[in-house]
Amino acid sequence: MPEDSTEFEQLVDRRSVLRYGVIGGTVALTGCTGGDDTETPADSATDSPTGTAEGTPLSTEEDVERGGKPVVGLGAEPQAFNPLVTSDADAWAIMDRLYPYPTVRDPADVENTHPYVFNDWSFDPDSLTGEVTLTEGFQWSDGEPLDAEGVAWWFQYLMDQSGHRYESNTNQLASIEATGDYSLEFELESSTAAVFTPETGVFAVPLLPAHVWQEVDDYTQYSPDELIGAHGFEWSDSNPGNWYELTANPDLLPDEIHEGPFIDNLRFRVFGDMTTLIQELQRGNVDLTYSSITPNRAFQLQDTDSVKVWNSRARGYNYIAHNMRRVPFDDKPFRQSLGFIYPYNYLQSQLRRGLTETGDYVAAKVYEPWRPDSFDQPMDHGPYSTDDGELDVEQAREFLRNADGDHEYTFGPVESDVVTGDQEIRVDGELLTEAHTNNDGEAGQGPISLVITPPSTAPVEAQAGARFVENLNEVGIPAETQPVAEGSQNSLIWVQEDFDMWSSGWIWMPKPHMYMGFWLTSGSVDADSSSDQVNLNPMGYTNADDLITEVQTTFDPDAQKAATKEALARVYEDQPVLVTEYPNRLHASSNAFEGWVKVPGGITQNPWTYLNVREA
Amino acid sequence: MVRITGRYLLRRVAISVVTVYVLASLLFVLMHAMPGSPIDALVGPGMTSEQIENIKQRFGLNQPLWRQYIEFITSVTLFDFGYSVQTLEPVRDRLLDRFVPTLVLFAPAFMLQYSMGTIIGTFLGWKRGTKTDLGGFTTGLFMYSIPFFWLGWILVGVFSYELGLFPSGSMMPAFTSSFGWVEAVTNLLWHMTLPVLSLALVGWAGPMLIMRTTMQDVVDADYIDFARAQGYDEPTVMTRFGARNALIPVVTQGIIGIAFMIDGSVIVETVFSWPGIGQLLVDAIFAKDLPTALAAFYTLGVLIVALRLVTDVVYTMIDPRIEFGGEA
Repeated sequence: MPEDSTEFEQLVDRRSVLRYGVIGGTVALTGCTGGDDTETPADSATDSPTGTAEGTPLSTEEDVERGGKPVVGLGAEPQAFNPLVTSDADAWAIMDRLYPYPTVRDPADVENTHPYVFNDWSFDPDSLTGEVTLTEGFQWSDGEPLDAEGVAWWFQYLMDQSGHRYESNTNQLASIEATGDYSLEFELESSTAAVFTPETGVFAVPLLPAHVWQEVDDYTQYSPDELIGAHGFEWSDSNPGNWYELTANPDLLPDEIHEGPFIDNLRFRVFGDMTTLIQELQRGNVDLTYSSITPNRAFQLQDTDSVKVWNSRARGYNYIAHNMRRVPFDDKPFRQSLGFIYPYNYLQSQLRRGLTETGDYVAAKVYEPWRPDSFDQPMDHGPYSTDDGELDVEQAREFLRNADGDHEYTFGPVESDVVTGDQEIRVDGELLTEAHTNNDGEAGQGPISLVITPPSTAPVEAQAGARFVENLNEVGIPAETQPVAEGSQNSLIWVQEDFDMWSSGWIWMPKPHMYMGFWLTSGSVDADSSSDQVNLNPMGYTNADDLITEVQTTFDPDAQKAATKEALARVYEDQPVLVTEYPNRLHASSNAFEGWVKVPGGITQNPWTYLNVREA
Repeated sequence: MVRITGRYLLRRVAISVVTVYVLASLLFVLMHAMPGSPIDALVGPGMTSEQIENIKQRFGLNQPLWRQYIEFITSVTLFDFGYSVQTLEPVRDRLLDRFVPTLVLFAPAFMLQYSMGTIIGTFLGWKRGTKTDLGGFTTGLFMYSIPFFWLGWILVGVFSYELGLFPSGSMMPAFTSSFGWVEAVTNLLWHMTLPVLSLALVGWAGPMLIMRTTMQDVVDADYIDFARAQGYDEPTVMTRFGARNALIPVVTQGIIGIAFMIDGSVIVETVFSWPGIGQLLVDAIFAKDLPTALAAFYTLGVLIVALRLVTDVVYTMIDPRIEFGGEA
C-alpha cells in the first residue's frame, strides 16, 4: 500500500480519532435507489480524447510488485452475473474485472476522458455521425478477439432489446457498424454532449462478448455460472455464495493500456456479516474490504497493526429534499432559511467524526472543476448556512423576517405544542400549522414533517434529522420527524410525492452536469402529483431547466464547465434540496498483501480512490 | 386393533392441506400489503416508464389481482416459485442447492442435542428433588435462555479468533474446490464443529426439560417398583423401564423440533456464513428478492404442517394407549 496520501485520499490516523467526538455513525449513504450502489445513466458532457493511453499513464507503474493472490471481502453473495439486469455492487465487484469499457476516467484527472477499448474517436454534432478506432490487443478469455464487429453487434443488440440497464444510453444510437477490424461508424438520434463520457455517455456500457451473447435467447433470465472477460482477468473457479477466483492473464490486455495485471489471482470471499469480515481482515485472511466500512469500525481498526484504513471522498451527497408544491416550501427564502437551522456541525463533527465534508452544491467536492468558485461567482447565491454550522436562532429568524419572497414571515407568541423556542413563526399572519398545505393546496396540515429512514436502519441520519427538527422547533417553526421504512419511501416519495421534507442521499452521482437533467428538471416532475409513475424530481423543481439544457448541449469543455457552475449556483440559490454533507468512503486493507498500487477503477467499491490492484 | 382410522387420517390431511392454502394466501396478502411495490427493488430513479412496465409484465404484476392470486396459488402448489429477482435462477433450484448444506448442519446438531437432552433429562428426572436435579435443571434453563447467535459469537471469539482451533465460518475452505474423500470429510467436520455446538448447547435443554418432567411421573409408577422387585439393577430400571415409557413426548416434540430447528437456521447460518436455506432467506430479504423469500417461508410452513401431521400419526403408533378416530 503506498504511504503517500493525495488530496483525495488520506490515511485515518490516531490524531483524527482524538480530534473528533465519541458518538459513532455510518458513512454509508442510504441512497435514493434503496441502497443500490450503482449509478443511473443520464445525459450530457463533451469528451474528446485528451491523450493516448501512452500519453496519460493511469498511475505510477514503477516498482510494482508482481504476484500475490489478494482476497477481497464481500459483504453479501453476488447476485446474477448479468450486466444487463443486475445493479448488485458485489456482482459488479467481479464483473468489472472482466468487462472493459470503451472509455475510462482517471481520478487524478477528473476533467478528461481517457481511451481504453476506444482508442480514438470523433463526433460531428451537425451530422450526428462519428467514428471510433478501437485499441488493438484486447482479447476475450476464450481466445476470441475483441474487435469492431463484436462491439458493433453488442451495441446493436442493446438497441434491439428493451428494459435493460443501458437502455437510456443506447437508445440515443440510431445506427452503428464496423467499417474495419478495429474501426466503427455510428449515428445518433439527436445531439448530446455526452457521447464518449465514461459512466453516463452513449457508449458508457461494459463491452460483453458478442459470440457468447449471440446464444442468449432471453437476457432477462440469463445467469451464467462462468464469465468470459477481456479485461486482463479470466474466470478461474468459484463456490457460489462463498468465494470466487479470477486468474490474471496479461495477454488479454494490450500493453498499450498497461502491462498488468501484476497479481497472479484475485479472490473474492463472501461473508454473512461485516463483523466476521473485519475479524478475518485483522487475521490476514482477507486483504481488502470491497464496501465502505463505518467510522466506528475504522477507528477500532486503527489499533490493529495488521490493518490500514483508507479515507477517500465519495461522489455522492446526502440531502434534504423539499416539496415545493406546498406552503411554506413553495417560497425560496423559506427553503434558504433552513440552511441556517440545519445542524451541519453536529452531523460532521459528532455523528460522522469528521469523516465527511459539509454540503452545499448538488455536486460532490471531487467534482471541483465544475463547482462554482465562490458564493458570489458566477452569481450571488448565499451561502445559506451559519459560519460555524451551529444553530443561530436569531440569525434564522432575522433572515425570514427580512425575506422578500412569496410569503411574509413574522414571529409571535408560541401556540404549538412542539415549538420549544420563545416565539413561533407566522406565515402571512397565520400560524404555520394553519398555513401549511398538502399537494392539493389544502391548508391546516399542522407542523411540517421530515421523512426519515427509521433509526434502526439509519441511526446517524435519524439522529441528524431529529436534531434538525429540534432546531426548527427552537427557532419557532413547528416540525416533527416522520420515520418511514425504506420500502415505503419509494412509493411515498417517488410516486405520490407525499412529503414536506425528505432525508436521503445519492451514493455515486456521476459528474454534476450529467445527472442534473434527470433529477432537477421539469421533464421529471409530476407537478400536480397525479401520476402513479416513478417521477425522478419529487421536489417539483423547474427553475434551472434553461441552464441545465445549456450544460447538456454545450460541447466545448470550458464552456460546459462555466455553464455547469452557473446551473449549480442557480440550484443552490433555489434550494430544492438542502445538501447536508459529502460523506467519505472508508476501506480497510490488510498489511499481509503488499502489492497494492495507486490506480483508478479498481477493486474497491469506490473507483474514485486510488486504492486498487494494478489491473485497470 | 385399529388405533387410527382412515377417516381420521383423511380429515387430518384435509386440515393440513387447508392450512397450507391459508398460509399461501396469507403470504400473497402480505406480499401485496407490504409498503411499496414488490418490484421496488428493481426500480431505480433512472428508469423510464416503459422499463418499469416491462418489469411489471415480467413478474405478472400488470394483471388483475384475482388472476395474480390464482397464478400464485397454482404455482406454489406445484412448488414452482418462479425466478429469483436476485440471481435470475429458478427459485426451486436455489432452495434445493441450499437444502443439502442445511441438512448437513442440522442433522448432526439435532441428533446431538436430542441425545444429550434425553440422556440428561432421564438422569435428572430419576434423581428428582436432589441437588443434582436442581443443578442440572438450572443449567438447562440457563442454556435454554441463551440466544443461538450470542453463543455462536462466543464460540467463534474463543475457539476461532483467540485459540485459532476452528474456522470462523463457511462449510469448506475457501478457494479450493477439489478435495479427496478423507480431506473433504475432515474439512467438513472441522468447519461444522462450532455451528453444531452452538445449536446443540442451546437446544439440548428443550428435550431435557420434557424428558425430566415425564421421567418424574414415571418414577413412581407401579411397573418401576415391579421391575425393581424382579431384581433388575437401578440403571436398567431407569433406562429400560423408565426412559422407554417416558420417551413418547420427547419423540413427538422432536418431530416438530426438526421444523423449528430449521427455522432457527436463519440465525446460525448467518453467524457462521453457512450456505444453507437460512442464509438464503436472509440474503433474499436484504436483497428484496420476494420470490425467494416467499418460497423459503412457504417451504418452512409446509414443513411444519407436514411434520405436525406426521406427529399425529407417529403418536398413535408409538403409544398403544392412544387411539384416534375409533368408536367411542
